[in-house]
Amino acid sequence: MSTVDQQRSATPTGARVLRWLPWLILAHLLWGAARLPGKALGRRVDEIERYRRDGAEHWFLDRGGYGGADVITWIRDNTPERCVLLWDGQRLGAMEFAAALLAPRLFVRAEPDGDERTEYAGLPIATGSRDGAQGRIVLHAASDRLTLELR
Amino acid sequence: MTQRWIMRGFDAALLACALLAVLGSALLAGGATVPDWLLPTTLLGGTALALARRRPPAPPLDPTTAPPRRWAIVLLALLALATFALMVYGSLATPSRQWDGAVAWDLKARFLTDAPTLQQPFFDDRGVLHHSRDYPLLQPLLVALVERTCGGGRVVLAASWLLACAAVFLAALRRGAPLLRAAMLALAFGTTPTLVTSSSGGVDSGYADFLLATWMTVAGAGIAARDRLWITLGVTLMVLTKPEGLPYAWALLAAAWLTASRAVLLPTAIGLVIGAATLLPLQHRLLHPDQPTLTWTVALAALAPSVLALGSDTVVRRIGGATLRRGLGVGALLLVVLVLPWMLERTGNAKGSLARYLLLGPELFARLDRLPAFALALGEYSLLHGSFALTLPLLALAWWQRRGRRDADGSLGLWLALLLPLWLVTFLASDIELSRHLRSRLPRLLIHGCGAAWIYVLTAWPRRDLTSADAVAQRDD
Repeated sequence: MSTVDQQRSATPTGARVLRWLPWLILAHLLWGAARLPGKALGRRVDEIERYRRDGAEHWFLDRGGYGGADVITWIRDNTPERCVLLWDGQRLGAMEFAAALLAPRLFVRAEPDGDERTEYAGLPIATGSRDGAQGRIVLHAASDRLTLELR
Repeated sequence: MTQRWIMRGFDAALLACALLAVLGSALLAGGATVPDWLLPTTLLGGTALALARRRPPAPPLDPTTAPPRRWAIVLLALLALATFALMVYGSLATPSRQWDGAVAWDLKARFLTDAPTLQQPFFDDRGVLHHSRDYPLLQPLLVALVERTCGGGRVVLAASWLLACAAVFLAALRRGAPLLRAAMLALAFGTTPTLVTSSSGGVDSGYADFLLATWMTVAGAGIAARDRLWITLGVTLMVLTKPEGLPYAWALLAAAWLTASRAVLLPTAIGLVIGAATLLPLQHRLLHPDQPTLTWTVALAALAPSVLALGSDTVVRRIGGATLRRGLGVGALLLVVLVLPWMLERTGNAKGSLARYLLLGPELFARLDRLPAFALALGEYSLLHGSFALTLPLLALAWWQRRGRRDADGSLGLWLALLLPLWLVTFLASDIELSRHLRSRLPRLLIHGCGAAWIYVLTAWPRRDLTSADAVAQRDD
């Protein structure tokens, strides 16, 4: 023990602090432990159930107030995993989830004046048909929703 | 005896992580594929090194301390087991259920699981959408390699909780704390509400914030336990985990220098050189896959802070004088502010996650009117929401108890204090609406320092140093 420590522990304040600390640590531990059953376990189980029931796209987009979860589902059901999807609009927001939820599909910005590419980096550009329209799939990312267009 | 084996297991895990982080990042930066055998090899290598390591004997227990109550130890062990099981469940039940975990970290891990190389369009093609492109890849790589080897890669997240708690526990024991106090400190930290609830930045959220906090806890534990290896490995790993790791390592270097703590300065400098020399080429490759790495500038950027700190510390020690040290400290800060943006540009990271903050320069000062909002939010999120429970009051009490004490632990306190201006810069540099940014980011930044803060709390008790008789007795044992 250094001289300062010996002096500190010998003072009434120093000794009092060292007496108080274990009780405060115990209080912190009880606080944390008390939250484990409800906030940690209960909430986690509930979230996991909802995630599994609703699917990842509804979990993220609906909860974040973004529209377009059905678009994600449609793309996943109607395109191969190994393909490139064209997109335009805002990179941050809903589009972040699109890239994550549709992996390993890759996203490349659509050419502004029409896109004639059929493949990118050795992978096919995704095409599809929906509601009578047919063409390359282009995902539009607005600040609050994702929409789909076939060009 | 048991303590010695727990300590060896902890050393082995740390060494294995550091070997994997450095070799894996270097292979990725070089355009190679990380082989699946790297994981078992680094585990074996880490274990062998830990077994070969000679460590100083631990201080004996205080003979005046009452023997631990067995029921209390059993209760704490059960609570630790239950919390760990909860973290494993939360990690493995689904992919990440929180924003950044899903859109950044899981996505990188997914592509690295399919093929652990950067030679694929997701990493190598700038035209492909890729969020946070230049983030360090330690967490995704760990998840990917475990996933490829045995499945359940996200168990890495829960394992990091165990490692962080072990760091607090072992640091307390190494300082001569009684078993019950060490176990209470470790578990009190481990059950801090924000870490174990399923919110952004929590252990199983998939964010890399807690992994970064783990390495900061390890570095802090190294300071408290006078273990240079822990400091070196903690610093290296924090640099390779998140972009914030590099400025945090610089801050620790500065804290060790300002407190004239050579025992902390040297291992921090070594860890920083290893970490930065591995990270900077990787970041350059991620940002500019088609350009060759600028070798000499990368080497200079990795070496310069450590060499300058060690060299100037030697000079100041010879000449002496706290005033000279303080003056040089201010000069070094100015030098960093002036030179670092240029340096980052020369290393090819001018548009990277770190340079974005540094290149703003004078604009940051014009935004200092955000300081009161930052200070208020700091108080609010660390104290009022209950997420950190009593961490802040405990930290304040520990500081009160330690005031005036001049030892290596002082560099830990100063390091924690230096995190504050670094966090402030995050909010000065950003164009995101301030209150929204503070709400989403500040709680996660506080998580980074949480473990190191708990290490600081345990330094309130003076370290029980070995007497020569103790040392002989332990060696004979």
